[in-house]
Formats: sequence, structure tokens, C-alpha cells
Amino acid sequence: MTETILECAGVNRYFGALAAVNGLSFQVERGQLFGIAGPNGAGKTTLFNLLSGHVPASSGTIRFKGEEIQGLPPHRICHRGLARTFQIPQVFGSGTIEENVLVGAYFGRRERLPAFGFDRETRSRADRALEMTGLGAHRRAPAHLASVFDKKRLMMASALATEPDLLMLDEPFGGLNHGEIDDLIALIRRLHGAGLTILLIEHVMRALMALSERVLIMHHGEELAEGTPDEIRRNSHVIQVYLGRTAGVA
Amino acid sequence: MTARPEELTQTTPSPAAPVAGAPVATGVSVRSAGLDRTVLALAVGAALVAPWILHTPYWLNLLVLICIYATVNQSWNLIMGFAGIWSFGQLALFGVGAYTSALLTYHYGVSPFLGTAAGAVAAVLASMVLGLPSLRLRGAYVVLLTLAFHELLRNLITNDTTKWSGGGFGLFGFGQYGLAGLPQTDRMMVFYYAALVLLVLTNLIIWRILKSPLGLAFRALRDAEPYAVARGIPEYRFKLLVFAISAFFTGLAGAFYANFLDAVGPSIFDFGLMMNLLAMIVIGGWGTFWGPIVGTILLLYLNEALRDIDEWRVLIFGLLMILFVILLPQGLIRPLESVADRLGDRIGRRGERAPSGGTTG
Ligand SMILES: Nc1ncnc2c1ncn2[C@@H]1O[C@H](COP(=O)(O)OP(=O)(O)O)[C@@H](O)[C@H]1O
Ligand SMILES: [Mg+2]
Repeated sequence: MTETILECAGVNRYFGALAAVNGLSFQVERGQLFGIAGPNGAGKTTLFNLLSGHVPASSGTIRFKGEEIQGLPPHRICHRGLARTFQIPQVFGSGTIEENVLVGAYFGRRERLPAFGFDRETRSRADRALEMTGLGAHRRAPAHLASVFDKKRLMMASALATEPDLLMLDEPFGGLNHGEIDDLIALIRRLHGAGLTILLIEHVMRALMALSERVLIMHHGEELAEGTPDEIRRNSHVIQVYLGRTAGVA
Repeated sequence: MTARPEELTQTTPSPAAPVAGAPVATGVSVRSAGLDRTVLALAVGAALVAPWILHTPYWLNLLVLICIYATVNQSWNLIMGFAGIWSFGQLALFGVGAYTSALLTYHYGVSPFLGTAAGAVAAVLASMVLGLPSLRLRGAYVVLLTLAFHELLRNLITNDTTKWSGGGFGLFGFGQYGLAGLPQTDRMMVFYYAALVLLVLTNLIIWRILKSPLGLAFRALRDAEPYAVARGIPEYRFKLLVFAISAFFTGLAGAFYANFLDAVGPSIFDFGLMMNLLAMIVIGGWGTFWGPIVGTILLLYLNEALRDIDEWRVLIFGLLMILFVILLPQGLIRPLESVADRLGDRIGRRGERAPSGGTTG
């Protein structure tokens, strides 16, 4: 029995004459690990910005847990259970690692009038997210000094602290070394194994193909192909346009 | 509210770190709470004793002004240093507080105490008029719109031919909270301790806010707005809120100032004054808690000490501000803090050593 958690229908986004996302339709089932790949400039990040509310869609509908969310501001989309990371690491640099995660834990669940302190529930949500991502030992370190790997895990930790239904990761492996990539793959597997739905944009095809249950390949803002990793590997269109240029896919 | 898309793919520089490569200002001090408490106790102790040492109307006047401007500067620092909103409407809101209380008392015989409270409320309302359109904007546009608001108020009052607002001459003889009959020094002492209460209360509340989830939200929005909103922070509402909080204390200080001087006039909107306040914050260290307070004390003192060279002072403060922006963008407070930290460490170590030799005796 499957339940569709995210459903895009005819989603468009124009920047002037450029169709960065062009008539995109796809759906993600609850518990799925759904991968998105495509060449640079294919519109992957723009798609994330549409889903998270950072950039409004020009047209089309986006349904999350059965309700339309296009047009909602980002903080409300977060409250509904959709949390994302950013391709270029963004952290709240003047805060500690722990404070970064507390932001997600405190503000990420619902609209609330801030009190003077953090309640136990918020703190334990933040602690769980820190432990899950392996950042517990660094909690007092200032975030702006964190390594790229730690910043990426930190974005994930603060996202997890909101206890999302859907986690969206924008090229989490970019700029990491092999050991870090393996660690991150293991972390994503653990989260997925615990039942979390994950939408993953990735350039590193090795990781994407290994992790994803379904893959969407984008090109010029459009869908080039969609299917299981095996189907994608065999798709002649994809091989021509995309995979042919990426060495060592197999 | 949607972010400009290009901001989503680029990390936006924090306003607290205007120079590339400069370390990001840590919001609230991360040093030991014990040291903070020691510094606080020393500061409050010094503030309580100061008027008995500097017991002349001249010095007392300066001390009152320090309290008032430090209140205004800390409120400005809350918006600009901690929340990262480039508002230049601060002095205008100070003026709204001053004029509201002056007009109510002068024309309608309202109690000056009620008038002072009304000044704070009026500044909050004015900050909403200013914030509703400008807080949807960003960066330079916020500067332009808030400066326009400042100029609008200044012009309205300067060109008021009905004389209701006092026009270019201002209004006199409404204030002093009924203390006008006291001998000058006694009166100044009362004003000083009242101003100190204003300063301490404002700073305690702002300190508390900065340590709370709300303060964390303000800094998160400043450091990385797309990230902050993606973690559930309602950007626009919180920016309005920080505007209102800051305006409340600013308006209160303005109303107190009008009653203290027993006068208001359009010189309150003087551009040179705005630059001086900015210099106090920048030289002290914006985005730090103690910076604006230290900067205010230092520059107001220098302003008096350099009285003989008069108009050169503005130039000197301007140059100082430029030097600080380039050489010490974190302000004076960073080096001062590291000295305090080292002292704190030394005292702490001595404190640890002492019991081992003395407790058994
Ligand atoms: N804010 C913007 N303004 C104009 N063009 C944009 C903007 N954001 C993205 N684009 C363009 O949209 C296209 C898709 O970009 P992006 O979504 O970042 O691609 P990807 O993440 O797949 O590399 C690119 O051609 C990019 O230049
Ligand atoms: Mg991208």
C-alpha cells in the first residue's frame, strides 16, 4: 500500500524567456528515496526552490500530503513537514552547531510566539538530530568554522530537527572526499531505513544510482526520463544526453 | 515572502562581517557567564558611583546623555547589528517619541509621565508604518526608504507654518517631570538615576531577548535568510517584531530626552547626530552586546574633551569610523574582551589554587 506524499503537475518556472523548469510532472511515494539528476543548469535547484517556496512557480500545482502548497511562504511549507538543504552550504554562522539545530527544532514545527527559553522537547529534538548526524561532539563549535562536510551534515541536522515528512537534499555529496561520501551515503541509508521520504538531487551518479529507488533525469527544465536506476541506465536518451558524458557510471 | 533567487545559490555576507574574510561576529558573547556577571556588576557599580564623583551639573548632564544615547544605540544595534536590517529610521523614531510627549504635554496638558509612555507607543506605531513597506525590501532599499522617512519627518516639522509643532524653533518649557523647582545638581542627580534605570532596563530586556529563541531567529535571518526561513522562521513577522521592540525603547528614550532638555526642535533630526550615533556603534562594535555602550561612553566623552576644536570633531569621528571599519570591523569591544578574558582566566586560576592551600586552615 503506497501513499503519494508529493505530486507535481505541470510545474513551470520562467526566468524571463528561460524556462528553468518546464512542464514537470512526477510523484513521490511516502518512504521512497527519489533521485533527481541532470546536467548543470537543468533546473534541479530551481525545482527545489519551487517546492520549498523560496521561488514561486509560474504555473502548475504542487501537492504535498494531499494539499496544494504552491504559493505558500517557505516557513509555512517547513511547518507542513517539508525540509530542504542547500547546494551551497548555508549555515547560521554566528551561532554554534547546537544553536543551528535548535532553530529547526524550535521554529520548524509550527507557528509559535517565542518564549524566553528552549523547552525540553525542543532540546531533545535537537539532541536527537545532532546524534543522528554525528555532530553531537561538536555542538559547542561555531558554525562558521565548520568544514564543508560538517556544514552539510549541519543543514541535514537542522532539517531533521523539524521532524520532516520529506527531506530534500540538494547535491549533498558535492565537494566531499571519498570517505565523507561513504559516511554520508550511510547516513542517508539510515534515515531512509527509518522510514523517511527523501528527495535527492545529485551529480555524483555512483551515489545517486546506489541510493535511489526511482530516478528522474532533468534536461533543460524538462523530464528526460523517469524510472528505476536500471531503467535509467538502459535508457538510450539518457545515455546520449547525460550519462554518455559522465564517466564511470556503470 | 520570497527571497531573491540569486540569494539561494549564494551565501549572503553577514552585515556583521562587512569585510571579506573578517570573522563573523558571534552574536551574544560565548564567554563564561561568570565573567559576564562580573563585568555587569562592575559596570552597574561604576554607574551608581559615577554621579557622586562627577558631581557637577556639567558632568551630570554628560552622564544623562550617555544613558539616553546608549539606550538609543543599543536599540539600533538590535535591528542593525543583530537582526541585520539596515534601518536608518532610528533617529526619526527617537524624534517621534520626543515630539509626541512634548506635544501632548505642551498643548494638551497631559502628564509628562503619561506623555513619555505615549512617546514610546507612538514610536512603535511609527515603526510599523515604516516597517510594513520597508521590511519587504532588502539591503540598500531599506536604507533609502528609512532615510526618506527620516527626511519626511524633518521636513514636515521644519516647514510647519502653523507653529503647532514649533516649526524650526521647537517647543520649550513643558518638561522636567515637575522637578524644575529642585536645585540644579539635585535635579540632575534625579535625572541621572532615572536615565540609568532606562538604560539598564532596556539593556536587560534586549540581553534577555538575544539569549532567547527570538534572538536566535533574528541572528539566523541576518546570517542566512533563505536557510532561516527554510527552518520555519516567519521572516516578515519577526522583522516587524524586532522593529517594534527597538522602537519602543527608542521612543521612550526620545520622550525622556525631550523632558530632560525641556525642549524639542528639528535639530533632533540632525544628520550629523545620526552619523555620530552610527560612529559610536561601529567604533564600539556593532553586533556585539557591550560595543554600543562602550562606544557611546567613549565618543560622548571625546566629544566633550575635544570641545575646543569644535567642528573638527565631526571630521575626527568620521575618520575614526572609517579606520575602524577598515582595521577593526568588530569594534573596540573584541580586543577589550580578550583582555577581560585573559584577566578572567588569571583570576580563575588563582581562585582554583587558593582553596588547596587555605581551606583546611
Ligand atoms: N534567479 C535566477 N534568475 C535567472 N535565471 C536563473 C535563476 N536561477 C536559476 N536560473 C537559471 O535557471 C537554469 C537552471 O538553474 P538551476 O536550477 O540552478 O540548475 P541546476 O541546479 O540543475 O544546475 C539555469 O540556466 C540558471 O542560470
Ligand atoms: Mg543546482
